Amino acid sequence: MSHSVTDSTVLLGHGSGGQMMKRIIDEVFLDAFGSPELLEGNDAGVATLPASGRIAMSTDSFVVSPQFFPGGNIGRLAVCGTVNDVATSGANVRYLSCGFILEEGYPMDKLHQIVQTMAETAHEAGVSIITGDTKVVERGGADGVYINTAGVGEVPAGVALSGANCRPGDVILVSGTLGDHGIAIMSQREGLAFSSTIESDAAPLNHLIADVLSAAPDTRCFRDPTRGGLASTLNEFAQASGVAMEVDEDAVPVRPGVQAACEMLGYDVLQVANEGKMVAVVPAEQADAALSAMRAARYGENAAIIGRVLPLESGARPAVRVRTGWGSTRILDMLVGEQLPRIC
Amino acid sequence: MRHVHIHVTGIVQGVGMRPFVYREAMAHGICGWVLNAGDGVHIEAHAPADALDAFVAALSEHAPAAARVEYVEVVDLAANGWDAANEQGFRIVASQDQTAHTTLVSPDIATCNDCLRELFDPADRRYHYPFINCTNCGPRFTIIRSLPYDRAATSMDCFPMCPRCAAEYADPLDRRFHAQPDACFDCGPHITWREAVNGDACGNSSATPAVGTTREASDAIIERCVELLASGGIVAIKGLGGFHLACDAANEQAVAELRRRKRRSNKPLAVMVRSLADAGRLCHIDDAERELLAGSIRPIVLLRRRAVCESNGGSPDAFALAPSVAHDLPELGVMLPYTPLQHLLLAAAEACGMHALVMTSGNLSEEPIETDDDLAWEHLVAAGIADALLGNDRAILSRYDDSVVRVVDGAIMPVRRARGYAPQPLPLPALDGAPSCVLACGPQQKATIALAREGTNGEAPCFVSQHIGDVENGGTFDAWNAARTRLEDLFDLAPAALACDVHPSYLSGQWAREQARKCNLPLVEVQHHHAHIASVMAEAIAAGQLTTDARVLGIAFDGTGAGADGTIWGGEFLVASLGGFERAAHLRTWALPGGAASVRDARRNAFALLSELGLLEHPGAARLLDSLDEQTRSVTATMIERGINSPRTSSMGRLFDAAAAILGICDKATYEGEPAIELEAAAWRALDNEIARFPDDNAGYFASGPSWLDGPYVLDQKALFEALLGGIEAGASADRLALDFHVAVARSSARIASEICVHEGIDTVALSGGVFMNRLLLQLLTRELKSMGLTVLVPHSVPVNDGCIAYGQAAVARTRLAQVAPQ
Ligand SMILES: [Fe+3]
Ligand SMILES: [Mg+2]
Ligand SMILES: [Zn+2]
Ligand SMILES: [Zn+2]
Repeated sequence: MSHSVTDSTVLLGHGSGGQMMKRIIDEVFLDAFGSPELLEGNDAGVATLPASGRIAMSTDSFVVSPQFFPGGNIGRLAVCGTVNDVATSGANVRYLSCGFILEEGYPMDKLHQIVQTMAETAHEAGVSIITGDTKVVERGGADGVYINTAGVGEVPAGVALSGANCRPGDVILVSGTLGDHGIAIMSQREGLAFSSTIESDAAPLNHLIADVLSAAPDTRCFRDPTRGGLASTLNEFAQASGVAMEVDEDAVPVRPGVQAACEMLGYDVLQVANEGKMVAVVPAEQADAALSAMRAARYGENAAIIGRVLPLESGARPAVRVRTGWGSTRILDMLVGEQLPRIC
Repeated sequence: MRHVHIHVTGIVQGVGMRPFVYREAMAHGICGWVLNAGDGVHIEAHAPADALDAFVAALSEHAPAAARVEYVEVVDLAANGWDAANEQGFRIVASQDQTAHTTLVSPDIATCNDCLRELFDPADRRYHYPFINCTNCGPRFTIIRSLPYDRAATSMDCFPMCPRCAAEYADPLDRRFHAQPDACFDCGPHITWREAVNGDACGNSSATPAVGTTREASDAIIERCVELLASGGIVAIKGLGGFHLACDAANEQAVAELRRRKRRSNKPLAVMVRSLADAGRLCHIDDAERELLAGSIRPIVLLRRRAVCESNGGSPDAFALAPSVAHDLPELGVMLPYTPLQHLLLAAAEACGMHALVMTSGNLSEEPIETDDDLAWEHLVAAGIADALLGNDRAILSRYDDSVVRVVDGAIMPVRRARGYAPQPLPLPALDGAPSCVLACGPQQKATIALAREGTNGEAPCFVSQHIGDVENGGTFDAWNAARTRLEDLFDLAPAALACDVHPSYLSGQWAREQARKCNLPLVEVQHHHAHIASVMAEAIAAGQLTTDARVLGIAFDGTGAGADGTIWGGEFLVASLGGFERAAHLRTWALPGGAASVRDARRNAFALLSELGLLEHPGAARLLDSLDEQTRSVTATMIERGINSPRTSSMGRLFDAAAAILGICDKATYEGEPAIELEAAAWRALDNEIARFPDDNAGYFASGPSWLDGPYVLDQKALFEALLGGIEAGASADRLALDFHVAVARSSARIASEICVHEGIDTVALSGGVFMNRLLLQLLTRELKSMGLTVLVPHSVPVNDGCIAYGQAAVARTRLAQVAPQ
């Protein structure tokens, strides 16, 4: 794309609604996103309703610091996060909106980079950005760039995925290594000198989900294990479905560098955030098909079956257990605020 | 003539109470009957007034040894209510179930001498029967399904008695009269034997086990078991409350293999020896320890080892133990056989030249001990930990670990309260307005639970469960739930209030909060170290050493506990009453990078402490720094500087860990408390080898802040660590410095304690917390405090470690709820 940046930093005037605002929209956003709906220049992007009559919609705000990190930037996150959230419903993700809150003085070339990444990621995911908004706040009023995206997709007839669908006997899959994003962000932000660079895994997974759904049509549910990691996702599933879940620790794919970092930092990798991973629960007889589909899909080469759904014993509360390599189990809880160590 | 109803309460079931009553009735010419009910033993008696009085007096004065008669209530009935013509003599009537399950059950009792004699008497019909017992001994709590204690309510219900056993059981003058687990080869349980073939347990798992239905078959199993042990094998053996893993304690290869398979690299292992004499060949034993070892409870007793004290072999008849049983630790856990099977095994082992067997808990690392034969096969043999399984067909209904105790200054101090002790009630003060029943959910590690109900006679009984373990583990959390419902069911108690730790993510606390919300019950969250101190106070109040409203100075030296200010406490001086506390002093806090990560790797904890104290550059710290790689140093420093997952702590346990790492005595904890335990071992070595007396000189006390009136004293450990590093730089021996460290901590703590006591007008100090598992520190500090004229309280019925927390929580919660209740 062209770098016809008139201004070198974001100015308050870029949010004024006047000439400057038009300039930043034209030069920065339209140039990159350029969907027909957007180029029509209307206040609303108008799109066609799907034949199935059902849409899925999700929104998310992105305030990550730093905005640039190994493996991506806030723009990639903003597209992937919402695309993945919409896609977990089984919908074909079609349209995105994006709202920017910019801090006065933010370097224009960085904004360009972010926007360019968003365009590329949207292209990769096959979604159109059809409406947007820009606000500029005074210095100190925000940390550089905040982005909100909302996404809409059409839900094919017959698809009804829900975290409440898990049944005893079902199998739990994850689409790749865990913990990459959370550790990458933390290392970058805090300047932790790990010997190997850990990259964020941010990726759009709507195609992977579609592939899994066609290979394993009775898939119960998907969820992207973002904040709170796998621990939160599985506990949410267990509670919604009233079941117990068991994860084989050794089966969970984790990069050695991430594992080592977690040990050093005292984090449980199963509680660390991911941005390009999908958890799926499928009936046992479709597990192999789902796994093959995941592995064949882009971003799914390290997919693995990591556990199973178990019946809830009478009186027990829904819970997730991790079976360690030597057969003992530990209870995998959701993260409770800032962690206080429990061991004596 | 008088006609009365007598109600006897206390530990009156499973202890031969009814036969005793029968014999006394006979001796005093009493007509009537006796029965067991849920709330104790009931007697109706018809006799001349004199005879009746003598009979009633005898009930408490001559009760069987294992009984504990708490109360004998006599109510006169109409004399004409007795049909003297038709109701002659005295009889034992079938047990009645009543709703009030308030009686106390005897814990399991070690095989008595009478039974032992029969066990080894070839002429006896129970010669070599591995389940011999009588009313004075045998399993109790581990086989009870419900109360009252009767064969039909135990796991013996599937063994109909043969005519000979039935006759003994029915004969009031027989030692086995109404002995519920009474059995013999013909009618009772039998041992079973399954072996992994060529190390392949799975391939052999369908094989029918050998069953010791006859003496010959039973003996053959024991012989084969001992043969396997003698050749270095590892056997899973079913005991009273769960499985043990056994091997020859003198065979280094076998012990090392057991450690490898159990993934238990350094934690010391307990051994079982046949006799007191044999125990004496391993360890020094004083009278109190002798009584514990050979008594009816038979816990594991932690004894001072001979081999370590008398290096170069010691006395000529000392047994050699494999070095890896307990490495260089000064103490060894020793127990004597407490089941007939163990007696048979140890006798057979001795015949093969084996004098001591390692008997460690039969579990997967971190999980509860196995109690079921099939699961034990799966988890212990098929999983490759044991080579064979010696089981039996009598089900264990309650899981009980071996209790662990030690004797300090002549008095017992429990380390783990389980078989033989729990759930005997511990007393709490009776309080007006306290809830009818409080359930205290305990801590996260070394969990127990406690149920305290309203009492009579000024005391409220508190049923403290057996040691359950670390409830973070799935199986242990299940065991926690099972123990809780079992206590509630058995004693028919429905909690009217709950207590738990303040820690936000203890699983027991989460359960309590949820339950309180669901059932709309009051919940008291008790600070961890307040619970520690309250447990000591409650015991002292019950013993009449303190008044119910007393204030003490509590010194809680502990590993970890959530503090009231968001930091992790553990080096605390609390001015405490049962209902509340004020933090009078604490260690200067430092960051624990990675939280638990710095507990596992004590060097990072030490690095953080020295960084906090500004001592990283000290030449004495060079070894520590060199032992950490560049990445670890840099990341750790960044974590501290930026506060990344680095909670601040004032924990004394962590201070000991740090000292161990700085001295190069222990870098990493492969089991809980290892660095601190090794530090103590080093200090004892210094005492044993170098100076043989407590040193009077030492440098580096804590410095304390200028005034604590404006807030808690902060004990600054900088001077102490400066002295330690200076010692390293000067080339002093690590053992000697470890000793100095202990002395400095004890003296500084005593000095601050005395200042607080003087100011507060307090004359009593209560000690609790896992750090006081350190016998040396406990003795040094106690001595210092006493020399300052202070009374020192330590617990004797609950452990100083987190095994006391549930009891302490119950004490605090009852007091607080009584205070807020409308009078
Ligand atoms: Fe504690
Ligand atoms: Mg999201
Ligand atoms: Zn006996
Ligand atoms: Zn019999």
